[in-house]
Amino acid sequence: MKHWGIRARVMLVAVLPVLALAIVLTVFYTSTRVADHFETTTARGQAFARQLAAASEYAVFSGNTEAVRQLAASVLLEHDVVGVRVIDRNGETLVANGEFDHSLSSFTEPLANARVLQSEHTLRVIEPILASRLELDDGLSAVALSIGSPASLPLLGNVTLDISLTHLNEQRNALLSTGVGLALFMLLVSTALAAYMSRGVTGPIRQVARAVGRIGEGRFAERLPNIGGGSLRKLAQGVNEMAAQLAHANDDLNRQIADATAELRMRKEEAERATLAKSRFLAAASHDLRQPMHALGLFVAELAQHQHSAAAEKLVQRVAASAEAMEDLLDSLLDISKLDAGVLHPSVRAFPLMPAIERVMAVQRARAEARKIELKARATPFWITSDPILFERILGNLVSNAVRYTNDGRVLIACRQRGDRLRIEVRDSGVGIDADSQEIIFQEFVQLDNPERSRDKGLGLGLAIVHRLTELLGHGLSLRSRPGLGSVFAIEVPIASPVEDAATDDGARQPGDLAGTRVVLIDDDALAREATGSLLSSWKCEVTAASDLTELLAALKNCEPPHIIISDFRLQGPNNGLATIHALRKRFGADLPAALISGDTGADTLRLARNAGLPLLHKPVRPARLRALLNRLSDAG
Amino acid sequence: MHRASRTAIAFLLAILTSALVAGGAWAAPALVVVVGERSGAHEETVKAMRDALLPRLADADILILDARSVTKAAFNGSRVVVAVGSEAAKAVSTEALRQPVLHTLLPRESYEALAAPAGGGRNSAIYLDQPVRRQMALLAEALPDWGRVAILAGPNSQELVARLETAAREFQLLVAIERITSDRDIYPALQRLLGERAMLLAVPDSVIFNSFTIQNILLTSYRSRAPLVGFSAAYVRAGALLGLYSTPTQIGEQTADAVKDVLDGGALPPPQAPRAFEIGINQNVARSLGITLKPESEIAARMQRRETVPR
Repeated sequence: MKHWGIRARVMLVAVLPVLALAIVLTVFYTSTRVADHFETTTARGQAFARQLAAASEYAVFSGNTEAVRQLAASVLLEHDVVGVRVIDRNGETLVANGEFDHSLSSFTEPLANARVLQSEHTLRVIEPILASRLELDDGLSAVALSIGSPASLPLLGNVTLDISLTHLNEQRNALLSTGVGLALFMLLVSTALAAYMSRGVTGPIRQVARAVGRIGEGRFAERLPNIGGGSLRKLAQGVNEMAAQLAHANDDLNRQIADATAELRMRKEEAERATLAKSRFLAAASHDLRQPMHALGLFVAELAQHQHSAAAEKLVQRVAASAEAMEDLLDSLLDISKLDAGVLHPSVRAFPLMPAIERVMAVQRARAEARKIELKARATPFWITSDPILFERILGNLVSNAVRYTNDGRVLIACRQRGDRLRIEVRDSGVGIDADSQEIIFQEFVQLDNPERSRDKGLGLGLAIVHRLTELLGHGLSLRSRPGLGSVFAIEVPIASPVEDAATDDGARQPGDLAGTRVVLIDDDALAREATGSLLSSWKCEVTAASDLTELLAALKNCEPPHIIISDFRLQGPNNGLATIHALRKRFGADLPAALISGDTGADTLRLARNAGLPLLHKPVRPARLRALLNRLSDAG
Repeated sequence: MHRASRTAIAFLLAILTSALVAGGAWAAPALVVVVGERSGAHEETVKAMRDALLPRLADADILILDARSVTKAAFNGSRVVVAVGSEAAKAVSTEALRQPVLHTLLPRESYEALAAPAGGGRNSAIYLDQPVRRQMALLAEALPDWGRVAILAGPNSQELVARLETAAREFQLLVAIERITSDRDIYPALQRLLGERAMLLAVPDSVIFNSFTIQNILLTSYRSRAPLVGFSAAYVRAGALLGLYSTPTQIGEQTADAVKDVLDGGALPPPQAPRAFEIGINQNVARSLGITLKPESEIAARMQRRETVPR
């Protein structure tokens, strides 16, 4: 019963008492009626027997068997009397008619008292035949007769009646079946009635249950109408109050959430603005620096091509070195901003590791020798899966840092296989990094050894770049270091199977011959234009330079179509470099090779160039790069 | 001397007076009547006795006792004792009394069954049984055509039946007798008796004639169309054609006469049958049986004449 719902319980409550009552009443009344019938039959039998006894008194007294037989026959006519026997006072049978049940005892001597015997099918009634008493009620008779009162009973004989109980049994069975039938019928009726009437009870409860269910689903506006009275009303009211409370609490919660979200959003926007500001700053800063740097580099390159005195040669070298250092710094900034913009898409492929290590070492060897530290790498036959250029950048930055921060001792590049990955370690015996700083060194502009922010020591972007690149490539980066004991920077890269005919394209091409290449140059900065133009001329290119499209078109009027277009991105006037190139291509052919130069390191510029499918060089452009680009473009063209 | 003698005389006088008075108060009743029951026939008998004795004896002179609460002391000083009924007779006979005792209103059989008085006093009786000759006289006067009387004799009435037989012959009546020992034999005996036309005479033998058997005997006699002559009014009411009996009043008067004799100094009369009698007729039965009878008074007168006229 514990798991029954309200409907079942109400039904039980309604049906069970009725059932019990029906059973009790049926049993009671059926049994009493059956008993009544039996009693009636017995009484009837006794009545007949007594009547017969009374009627046959004189006949028995006078031994008139014929009269007795007649009397007996008349009794036998009764429908359930099956046997009649009359015996006299000596036990002699005067009359025996019908059938007698032999399972019941019969008596040889007449009984003085009435008896009733019963077997399964028969009821036997025995009545004594007594001489009727005549009250001789005068004193004299009484007196006269008072002596010697008769000791003998006035018993004249017995009448025995056998009554069949078959009919009675049938009646009893009929009664029973009727009773049971009635009880079942009442049960059905009461069940139906209970089902109907229980709706009055279960209806409201189920209504409440449904409402509660809906409230549970979140519909706090759900309310119950007033149902019933007393407890039902209280229940409905309670549910409504609960819903109101829930709604209220929900509203509160929502409000709090909204408030928190608004605040978070505000913070996020703040953070985003900050980042954006930073990027813009970087872009602006680097762009503003690039133009002059670009020109400087070009001029210096051109200067280096001229003949100089020994002293002037040295000066030129120093200038070149300084310019290069500045370019490196600017490159680092550019890399960071590229990474920030998310426009760097690594082209991952398999390549041999050792050549990359050797190139990096080649770059850092001079510095290492200058600081009198050993720079070694363990030979490794492995090929790895990564972006070669970016990988070299990572390795280069790590080795550069190692060299810088090691005063004496050595820097070792070693590889160790870990399952299907290769762990490449750059170990140095330098100053080491204490645990507190091991997190922050990967942040931009953090230099642990450069409190005075000397530009000789770089900008502090190397590790930040390494961190972002390793994240981009999915290589694990780890650091183990203790102050005074050196550091071990390690990256994990997947090992690749060697590929035949691997393109060892590292971007360094043999400088080809550009003589006679007609190059169109558009730049609104006169200095830059001049510098670039001059450099191109030194490479024997035919240069047509202009500051905008109109001018250029005028200049190209009577010339042969150009081979390559090089345009600055930001131009004065309505058109930018893209539009200009587009216009020129319209004029001279859609497949005319073109390139963009920009001092703008912003993400938008990079994206636009990429979308247009144009190579983009950043100012300051290294001459070698420019040349390589021109070669490629002219090859392609 | 004067004062002392006066006191003595006064004292003696006082004693005498009180003795006289007390003696007067304690004067024993002349007649003590013991009754078996305080109702019915006994009451009637006692009343008749009283009425008859009235001039002679005052009510104060008669003490009536219940047979159940009889004590010896109660009889002291009385001159005669009357016992009414068999029960009283038994109660009185156990007391050893010196005064004469008259038993009345009981069957002869009962009286003769009593033990002899132990006290030396004589006793006598007025019993209920009618003289046999009177019974035969009734038969002769009431049903002169019939000429035959049937008698069922039981174990207690052998002697009586013998006397009846003798009396019947005197009256030129044929007698048929069946002797039976128990009520079982009644019917066959009756069949034999009443095979021929006869008058059935009831005898007070309780083995045969009792309240259980009377109905069937009546029916049997009725079916044989034989008139039953009974010995009480109840029989007549029950269905007997004729009844011969003495009422308690008559017996009471007779008892009173006997008591008067004794009080007058005479002796107790010998045990006797009742002097006065009554006849009862059931007219319905007479009609059913088709018998015409002379009126009762006439029959009674004629019977009376027979008794008084010497043979």
